[in-house]
Amino acid sequence: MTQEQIKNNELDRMIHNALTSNNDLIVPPGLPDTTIRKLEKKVLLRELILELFIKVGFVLGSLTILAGVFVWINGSGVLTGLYIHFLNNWQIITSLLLLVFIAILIDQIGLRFYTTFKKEVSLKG
Amino acid sequence: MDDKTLIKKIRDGDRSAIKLLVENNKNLVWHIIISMVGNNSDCEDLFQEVFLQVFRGFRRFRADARISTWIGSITHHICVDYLRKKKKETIFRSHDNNQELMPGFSADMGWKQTENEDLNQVVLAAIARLPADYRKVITLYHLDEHSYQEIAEITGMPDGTVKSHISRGRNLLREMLITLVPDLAEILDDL
Repeated sequence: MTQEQIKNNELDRMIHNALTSNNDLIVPPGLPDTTIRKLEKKVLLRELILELFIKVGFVLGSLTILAGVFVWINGSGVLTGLYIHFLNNWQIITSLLLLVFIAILIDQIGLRFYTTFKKEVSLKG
Repeated sequence: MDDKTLIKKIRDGDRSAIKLLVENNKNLVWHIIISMVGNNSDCEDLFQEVFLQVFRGFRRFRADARISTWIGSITHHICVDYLRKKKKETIFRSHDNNQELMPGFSADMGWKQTENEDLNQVVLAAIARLPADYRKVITLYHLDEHSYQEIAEITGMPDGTVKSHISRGRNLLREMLITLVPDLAEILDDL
């Protein structure tokens, strides 16, 4: 090993020792856990929303099939009748649909999200 | 667990993989943040922001790079944005004047007589006075032991620039240390 290499190694050692001794470079305790929890919440929220979309899709698909069966049996007059009925009562129908949507949102996402994390916190605590 | 398996598990929403991802890369992320923006109250927010962006961007991640390099590069971009917003460059939380920079040192005191802790303080203070780009690459090179190529990928600098920054940074450090502690010349000075 040349004299220059020895001096470089000495400098390397000093820099490494100094950096590893610097408390500022130590990750604050608890910070990774907080970050992990935030990420886990995001994953859970994404799963719940996906699940909700699948359920809504399933219900809408079933209704479409049902409407198709009605049209097949009674002709397209049924749809026109439903449309007129909707136009005459659009305020109450929209309010009901909105109410159902909010209730499902609270039940499927809000409450499940809250209870899952509440349960985990109490288990850890 | 190798990178590919980890990526697959995270894409599948495996929560234990998320934990592993944070645990494996927390030091790298923190070191880049501290070496670029200094230790201040925003560091913890930046740390969390990095992992949130990593999580959001996982579908765009190309498996030909290492996860750590990719995460390092995201951290670097977030810090650059932060500094741009703040329009100022902060340095390591250290001391403000030369007297404080050199605890326990005086002109006639040999470095061998000092405690290792004091020598570390002097080296840290010298590192803190390096230009930001030099400080960043030196931290990545010496503390996280990344190769020139990995540092280049993280910082977006060409390989040659990384190499020259490390070399110039080390030379500057050597000069500063010899100025601060003349006895170090014996072991650090060029031939």
